[in-house]
Amino acid sequence: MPVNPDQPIEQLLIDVNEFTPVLPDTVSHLLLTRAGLDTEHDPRIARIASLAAQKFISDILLDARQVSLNRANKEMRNTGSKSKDKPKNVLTMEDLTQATAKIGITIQKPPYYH
Amino acid sequence: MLSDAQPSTEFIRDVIKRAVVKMALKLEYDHIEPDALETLAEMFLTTLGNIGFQTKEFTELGSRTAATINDVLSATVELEIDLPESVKNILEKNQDYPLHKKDRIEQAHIPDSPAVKAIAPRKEHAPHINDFMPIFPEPHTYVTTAAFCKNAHHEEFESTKLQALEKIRDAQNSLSKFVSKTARGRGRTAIINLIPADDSTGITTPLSTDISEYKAINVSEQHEWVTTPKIPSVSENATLEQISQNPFVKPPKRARM
Repeated sequence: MPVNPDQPIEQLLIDVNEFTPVLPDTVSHLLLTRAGLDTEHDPRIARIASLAAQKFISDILLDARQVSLNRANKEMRNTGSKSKDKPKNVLTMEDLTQATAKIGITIQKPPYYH
Repeated sequence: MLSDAQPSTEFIRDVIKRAVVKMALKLEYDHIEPDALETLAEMFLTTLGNIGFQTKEFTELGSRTAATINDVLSATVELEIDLPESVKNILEKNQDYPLHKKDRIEQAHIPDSPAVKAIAPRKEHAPHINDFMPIFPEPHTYVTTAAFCKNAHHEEFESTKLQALEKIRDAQNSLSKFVSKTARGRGRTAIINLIPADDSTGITTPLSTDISEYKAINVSEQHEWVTTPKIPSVSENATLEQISQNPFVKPPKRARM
């Protein structure tokens, strides 16, 4: 059956074949099987699911990055220091907490733990 | 390549952590805190599990055992995960592959209120009934009577009073006419002087006024007003003759020397 690139669904399948997610297909397949989904007949389903999860985490990382940049700029304005060394970009829990709070996920460290 | 045996959860977690680190490196992160890495790995794992679970739900909803692309897309829509544009176009424009929508509990249909049978137009309250007053019963529930009734008690009283007043006035009028008819030298049109113009009842005019110089009109010489009344002196104390004549009055006792 000839592939028509004008059709959205076919374009999607082409894109999925070209784009490789960070999580290997085997791990995605395993995790989806554990959730009760059978993807042996069509491996593209696992790829799309992994793509969606990757997109979700990437958005959170992007928001955290933005938060850290805003904080760094604020500190630069307050202190006025101009250091030659390039500041290290560290993903902290504070940035992650603020980024996830925007989408409704609350991350709290328990006050005490064993 | 993985063996047939199920890999341990720790191995899967390590793989997911490496995937998260790859994503962080793409965003120019140099370091990542262990707690943050653990949190993101857990979130990745949970998200993928939720996508799989939802996809399975949609597959079962379509009475199928094998999942389709549409089921995955529907699951992402259900979980509110934004997909790339190419996939979004499918959700918006594609009509050949309709998305399965999870059955939702429909809101209870609120039945329309039954039409009230109107027998007669609703009566309005009287104009003297204001909105701030307590709620009055509907006008159709009571009988309204006129405020001014001929048989009312207050009208009988008023009519009786009016009749009495008329009788009094009639009596006064007839009395005055009678007096005017029986008076000497006085016709009906003459002025009735209720105060007799005797010497004992002299009418004095104010002193040092011009009116004292004027002469009264239509008054005879005998009854002319005078400025100095001739009032006989009347002693208050009784004389000896009066005392002796009155058997009830005893003469005053004189003091003995």
